[in-house]
Parts: sequence; C-alpha cells; structure tokens
Amino acid sequence: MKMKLALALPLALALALALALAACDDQTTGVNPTPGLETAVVVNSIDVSLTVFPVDSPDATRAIGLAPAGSPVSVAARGSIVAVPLGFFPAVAVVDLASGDVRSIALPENSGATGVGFVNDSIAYVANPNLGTVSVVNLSSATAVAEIPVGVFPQAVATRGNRIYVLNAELDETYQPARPGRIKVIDATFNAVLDTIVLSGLNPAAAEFGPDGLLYVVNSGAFGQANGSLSVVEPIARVELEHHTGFGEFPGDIAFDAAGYAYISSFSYGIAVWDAAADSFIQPPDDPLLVDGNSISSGVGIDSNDRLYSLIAGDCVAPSVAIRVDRQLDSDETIDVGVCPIAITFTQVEVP
Amino acid sequence: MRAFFLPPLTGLLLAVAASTAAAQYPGELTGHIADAITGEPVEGALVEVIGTSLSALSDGRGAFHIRGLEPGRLSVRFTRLGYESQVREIDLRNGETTWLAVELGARPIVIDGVSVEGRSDTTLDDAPGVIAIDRDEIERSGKSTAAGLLEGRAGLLVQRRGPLGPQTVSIRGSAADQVLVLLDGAPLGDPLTGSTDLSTIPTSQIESITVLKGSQSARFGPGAEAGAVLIQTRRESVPLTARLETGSLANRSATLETSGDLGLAWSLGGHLRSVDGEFDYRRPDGLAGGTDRRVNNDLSEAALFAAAAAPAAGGDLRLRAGFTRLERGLPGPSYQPTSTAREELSRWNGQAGWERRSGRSLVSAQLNGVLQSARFADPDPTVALPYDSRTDALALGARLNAETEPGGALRAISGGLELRGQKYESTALDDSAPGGRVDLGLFAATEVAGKDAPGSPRLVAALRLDRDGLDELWRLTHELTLSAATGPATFHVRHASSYSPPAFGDQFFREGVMVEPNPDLRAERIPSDLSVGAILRGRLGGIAGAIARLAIDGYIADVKDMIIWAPDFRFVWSPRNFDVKRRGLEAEAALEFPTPSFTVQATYSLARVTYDRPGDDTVQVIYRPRHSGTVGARWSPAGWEIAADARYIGKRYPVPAPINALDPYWTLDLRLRRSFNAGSWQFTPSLAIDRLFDNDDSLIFGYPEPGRIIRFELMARPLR
Repeated sequence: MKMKLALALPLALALALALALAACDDQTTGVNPTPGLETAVVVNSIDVSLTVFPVDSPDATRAIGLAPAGSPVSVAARGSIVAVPLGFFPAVAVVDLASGDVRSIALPENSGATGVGFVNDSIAYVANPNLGTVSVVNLSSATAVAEIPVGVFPQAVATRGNRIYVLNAELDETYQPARPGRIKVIDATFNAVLDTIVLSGLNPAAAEFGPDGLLYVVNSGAFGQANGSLSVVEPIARVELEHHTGFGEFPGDIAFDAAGYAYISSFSYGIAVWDAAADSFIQPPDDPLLVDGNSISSGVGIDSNDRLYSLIAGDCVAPSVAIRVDRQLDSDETIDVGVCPIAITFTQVEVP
Repeated sequence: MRAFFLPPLTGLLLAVAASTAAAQYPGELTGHIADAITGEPVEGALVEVIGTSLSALSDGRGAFHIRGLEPGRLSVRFTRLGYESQVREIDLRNGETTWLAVELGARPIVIDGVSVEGRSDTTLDDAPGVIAIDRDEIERSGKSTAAGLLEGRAGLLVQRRGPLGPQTVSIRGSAADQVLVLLDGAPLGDPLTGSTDLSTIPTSQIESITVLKGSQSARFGPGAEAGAVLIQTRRESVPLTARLETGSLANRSATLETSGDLGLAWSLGGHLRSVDGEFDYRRPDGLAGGTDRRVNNDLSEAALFAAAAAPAAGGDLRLRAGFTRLERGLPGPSYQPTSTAREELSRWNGQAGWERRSGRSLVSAQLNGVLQSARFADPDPTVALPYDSRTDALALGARLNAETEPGGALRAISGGLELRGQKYESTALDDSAPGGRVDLGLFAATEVAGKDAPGSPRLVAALRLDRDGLDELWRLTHELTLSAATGPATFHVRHASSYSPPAFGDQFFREGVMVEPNPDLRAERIPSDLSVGAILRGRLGGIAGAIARLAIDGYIADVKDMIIWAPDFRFVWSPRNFDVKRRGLEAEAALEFPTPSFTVQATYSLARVTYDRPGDDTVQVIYRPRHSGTVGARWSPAGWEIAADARYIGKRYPVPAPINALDPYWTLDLRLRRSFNAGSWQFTPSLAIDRLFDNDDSLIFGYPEPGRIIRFELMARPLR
C-alpha cells in the first residue's frame, strides 16, 4: 500500500484535493422549483460519494456512490438534482435524489473540475481550474455545451439570477497564490465574461450570498501562512467593498444563519463566527466555535431551521461524522457520513 | 489483428503435416532435476521408468537421459536420498525426445527451508501454501513476464496497470510491499516503495518460481510478511534453443539460448522484445462514451543470462548472472493520460553458490547481488509539475547455511546467518535519508518426525532473529508447522510471525506540495499467522483411472500497523499505520485422466481483508476482490497440447468504503501447442490467445486492457 512515489497520480490527487478543497461551494442556487422534504447532501471526498439524509430524520442516511475515481470537493443542488464535479476525474456527477440515479457528464480532459453552480433546472456552470475555463453543462442533454476562458485557476462558482461569479485562485505552477484573487463575472445569457473583480485576499475559495445581498468570499490564503481573509463584494456594481483579515490558517467554507452571522470553517481552528452587519468577529480564530469540542471543521452548512452542521474530516481513511448544533450551539445530532466529508448543502426534494 | 492469424495457422498446419509423416521408432526422455527451493541441480537422482527396466542417474548438472523408450503414456519416478520422491506422467511420442524439468522438494530443512509433507509420491505442489512453477511450465505458459506467470494462482492477485505497465503481486490480500521477492536470493523490491514490479522480469530469464504463501520472515527475514516469491534465473539451457514470437500490439520477440561443457558446464542466452502497445479502448463510463486511443504504451526490453558450474573446494560451485534493460511508456490512468511519461530500468544480477555434501551433512554458501537503476520522468504531465526521478540501488547478500540429518526422531537440524546490505541513491529521497542499510539475520530450524514412515507426524520449527539496520532493533520471528498424513489425506497446521519495515520512501520521501514523509512510521507486523489445511489425493478407480487432488488451506493473519498512504485533515498525504484484519481460504481441485491425457482443475480464493476500525471491520481494503478463482483444462491428444484457463475476479472496491464497487468479470485464455521433428530439429509452434472473448475489464479502474491478444511463437531446438 505504500505509495508508488515515482507515479504522478497520487501527487496529482493530493494536489487536486488540497487545492480544490478550498472550493467548498456548498450552495443551493436559484429558486427551488417545488417545496418538499428538506434534505442534506454531504460530499465525501475520499470514497467519492454522497451521504444524503432528511434534516428532520438525520439517522435515515443514504450513501450514493458517484464514480470509481475522483476527488470531489464541492456540490450544488436544485430540487432533487445534485451536481458534483469530480476533480481529477474529468466529469461532473449528476444525481437525482428522487430516483437515486447517478450519471456522469464528461468535461474537457484534465479539467480538475471543482466549483459548480446552477442557473436554472437545466444549466450548471463548472469551474475547470487546470484549464482556466468554466464549462457550461446542459443537464438535459448531458453534455458540456460551452467552455468559457476565465483566467487562472478558477476553483469555485456562485450564481445569482443569470450571473455567474467565478472565483479565480490565481495559483502558480507550484499551487501557491501568485497574486490576489479575481472574480470573473459571466452573463449566462451570452456566456461571456462581463467583468473582473480584483480581490485583496489570496486564494479565494468559497463564496456565499449574505442576507444583505452581498457576496462574501472566503480567501484561504497561502497554506501555512495563516493569512486567510474575507472579501465582501457588491455583486451588481461588481466591486470589492471590504476586505477583512484575521481569518487565520486556511479557512475553507462559509454559511450564513438567519441572524446574518457567517460561519467560516477551517481545518486548523474549527469555526470562526463573523457578524456581517457589524463587520466584526463574534468568535475569532483564536477563540473559535468548537462543535462538540472539534478543532477541525472541513465544511459548514445551515439548514432552513437555522441549525448548523459542521463536517469532521476524521483521518480520511475511515468514515466520519457531521455534527449538528441547535440555535444555542449545543450539539443535538451526530450523523454518520462517508470518508473525508468536505462539503454540505441542503435542498428540497419533492416527496412522491 | 487479422494478419496474425496467418502465421499461427501455417504453423499449426505444418505441425499436423509433420505429425502424420513422423517415422515409427522409440522415443527418448531427457531433462533436468533441480532442488525445488534453491534451484540447484540435483546430482545422483534415480530416474526410473516404472514398469520397465530402464533407468538413469542425473549427472552433476542435474541432467538425465534415457533412450529406447516405447512411445505412449509412461510413469517416471524420481528419487534421491534427502528428497521426497516424485512420480511424473508423460506422453512419449513416436521418435521424439521429451524434455522434462523436475524439481524435487527436500525432505530435510534446506537452505530456503520449505517442508514438504505427504506421501512418497507427493510433489512440491502438495506442500501447504506453496506454488512451484518450473521451466517446463514457463515455456508452456506463453507468458512474457514473471507477473503473467503468477496471474490466476490461488491466493495470489497480480495488480497490473495496463498490459505493459507495472505489475505487483498481492498474497492473500496483502499489499505488494508485504511480499518479498528474491531474485537468486537477492531482494528485488523498489527501495522507495518496497514493492517489486514483476513485469520487469522477462520469463526468458527465469528458471523457476516458487511462491511461499503466508508469513515467511522466519525463513527469509524482513519483508516476507505475507509471503515470499523466489525467482531463480536461468541456470542451464539445452544445447541450442531459438524462439521467435509475434502477436497483437505489434509484439515481437526473439530468444536464443545455448549451452556447452568445456570442463566447466556453461549456458548463455539472450532475449529481445518490443511492443508498440497502442490500442483502442472504451472510455470509462461518464467520459462521454466512445473509444479512445491508448498511446505511450510501448515497451522495449533486452535480457541476457549466463551460468556456469564446476567442482570447487570439494563441493560444487554455481555461478549465474543476468542483465535486463527495459524502457516503456507510462500512459497513466485513462481519465488522466499522459503521452510523455517514461520509465527506464537496467538491472544486473548475479549469484555465486557453493555447496558441499558430506554424508548426512551439507554446508552451503551463497553470495548474491542486484544492481539496478530506474528512472521515471515526465517532462510534460497533464497535471502537476514535470518530474525526472532517478534511483540507483545496490543490494548485496551473503548467506551461510549448515544442515545435518542426525537420524532417529530428529530428522534435520539447520542453521546459519544472512547478511544483506543495500545502498541507495535517489533524487526522490530527502537529503536526510541514509544512503543504505545493513541487516543481519540469524536463523535456525529443526525437523522432528514420529516414525520413519510415510505419513507419520512431523514438526518443523524455525526461528530467525533479525537486526534492522535502520531502527537498530532486533526482531524475532518464528514458524511452527505440524503435519501428518493418513491414507490419501495430508493435514497441516502452521503458525508463524513476520514483519516488514517501512520502505525508504515512506520515511524519507522528498517532501513536496501537500506530500510529506513520516519518519515515525512503525514496521508492519503479523504477530500471529495461523493456517490450517488438508490435501486429499488419490486415484478414482471408477472414473477411467482418474487421479483426483483436493487442497484446502484457511488462514487468519491480521496485520498490525499496515502502512497506507492517506491524506490527513489538512489534505497532506503521508504514510500512516492502520490495523487490517486478514482471513480467508484457498481451495484447489484437480482431476487428471491419464488416458487420454486430460486434466481439469479449479481454484477458489476467499480473501476477507478489512480495515480494523472501532465497531466496524467489514470494509474491504481497496482493490482486494473478496472472491476470485479459476477453471482450467488441459488436453493432450495425439501430441497436441490444448489448454484453456478461465479466470474470475470478483467485486472489488476502489475506495475505502463499500461503495462504487467495480463489477466482477471473467477472462478466458487459450493455448495450443504442438511439437514435431524435421530433420535433426524439433519445432514447436504455439498459439496463445488471451481474453478470447475480447473482454477489456481491468482489476484497477482506469487502466484499460486491450481485449483479445494473440501471440504466436515458434521454438526450434536440435534433437539430441
């Protein structure tokens, strides 16, 4: 089992995982077509699977394999349809949660696909960091219908309306940030880049729209440099409004609660809590939220009942857990998930 | 592929024509007798054709020759003091010389110490957990590499990355680095990974392969945790043999061997092979379907061997040396192919063995060495950075052994010491890596038997104390084997322990982006390897005199601190220790009909190899099919040899969870062979078809197989 050192694959996998990990793009985008059973979807990176469970019955988990190979680190869901880019396996897995069917849609060779977002029921945008492009994927025809050049190392996607916000990490060949990150804004009507937003932080990795309508971008920074930050972007004017530093070592994911608090996860310190309205920490990285005592969080999500879920990566060889806390931040559920959970999202699945 | 049908067809038609034209006169039997474990020639063995007065003794080179035999089915017995006797059935054809390679299993504990249980006609295959492949079988197999020879054997799993890529062997669900591969006694494992790529050993170099399943550290020291593969390189050939092969994937090879005796018995051989290797394959599910072209899949290979034997210092001195050079493309997984990754390997190997027998005692000494240089480079990979890694490794070993047969209940006592030195230089290793290591092993063994009669209970005990040259710890391993026979049944119980130290790469790999070594890694250990088995063998009088054989071997051999590369919470990959549960069984059944010569055999392997996690020990380790097996038949009508082997690989998981399973599959290989004489030469055309039904499944996802492969070989050698 020792690694064949001379082979590129394990290294490539490590790189793909490490760099794409920042792209924990666990958003539910667009308007859900129908109300239904709120369902959590967890992406497990090492066993290339999803763990799916109704938020009101978290013990009723279901495991869904995505592919024999891949390094998924992000997920987007719309109704019963879930899309998961497969990293070094150049495809996006599309799962119908209602039927359990899994299919894959091919992406350009060597895409290293990470981020994904829906603009409607049929079209998803997938970031190809190795190629510097975004693929437009038609879920109905199961084809990648267009490829849009966007710049250096696009690794996450956020969507609102017909705008796609692509987070360019601007990494060099050694996978270190070469310069501050960029956001490319794409008009989905014409599949053309409208604008470029220059960020102040390094290595933008995840983004979420806040209750104020602004786009909050987590900049992971350079590994080992503890220089994570948060950019606040005005999505219509397409400018960075604020840049907040002090988010410590390699923050990777973000989720908002109903009160407008942003929960930012990190492998190094757990979860930082940021008050978006006051532009200040509720719990900074040096006094983090430790869900059930865990100082490691590989991903965060908040369901419609305002309950926070923190993913515990574990040893990335054995199955691990997601821990849910209530509004008082007391843990109320420990949910078994797969190996190395890395991203979580929520969606409404129509009950037959 | 169509063009390849013509030469095989022509060859086979020639064979048919020749067989009808052959004159009617007596045949001859010639061959070679070797020690099954050491590979050394066995001198003075009595070769008797049962039911006749004809017999011969093997000479100093292990060779024998009997003339004037009536054609037909013959039983030939091989006996020598100190060895289990053996009976072989042969079909002697009109006017032809049949060549037979025989390996005798030693009765006392011998240099490499395999005990052979059973009745007087028991062969090495009857020993528990042993697979023996001799030169004759190698030639019949049509396989090109050592890995090909081991595919489909009970308890063995060859993990191959494409038809021409690296191929390693797993024994009873082990990792590849838990199997010690010795080439003429010298460890062959990659110093960085600890595993051995068996695809780099061409069959033209191999005299015999012996696989010992289960913990073997008490015999062979560190690394033989799950088993040992003992490869003996060519030692001797017939006076002249030439082979030409062609086939699918633009496969071309040529082999020439010769031997002589100038007071010093010598043999010499060479081999060239090239494969273009390009083929179309189905793209993996999810990658838009259709087919793609597998490129950068070529291989070129050259190999030489030389051997000599002569009396020296009152004993026998054996020398052998070999050289292999290989260059090939490394196309990578189909979902992330590269057209520029290459491997270059060159390897020198040599062995000098001296043995002196005096009465009931034997003293032997062996020096061995392997010098190899491997370079892996990809100037333009599809992902990550270009790399160019070179590793030079020199392995030297010395082994001294003494044994005696005191008599009475104490059948044998042996002991000795082994010194192994390894020196490395690698651009893939960190500057802090030591340049080498020296390991010392002291070993002793004894055999106690109840009565001097076949079937009486026998106990073999072995102990070995090894000093690890890196961590400077002493480790003690043991083996106890109790066997007994009654009627047609032989039973055995074996208990052993073993260990395998971390590979250099595990501890000193040059740290890269998101990858780091682990200097604190512990050695893998199997503290308790328990196997229990039985062999039933006998003649079924009611079924055309068929001989039936059934062997079952079960084992429990959990691994403590198995080394697995995995990412940590930061997604930095490094080797870590994990416990693994390992248990299973192997069953082999064979039915042999003497007239007509027809054999059918089947094997089944159950390998339950699971991560030992708190509260859950059900998840199978990746790429370890829990179920696998073979069904084969061999028929020899009128001088033909027709063999078919079907192989089953069960469901396996590519991830450490019971999900994303890969479907089971079957493959079917077919071989046809026919020898005929023309003038003073014997010609043997053979046709081999792998994956007859064009099955392109692969054990490991992303490494496509080309489907049906056809090879045609023509062998020629002068009649003696």
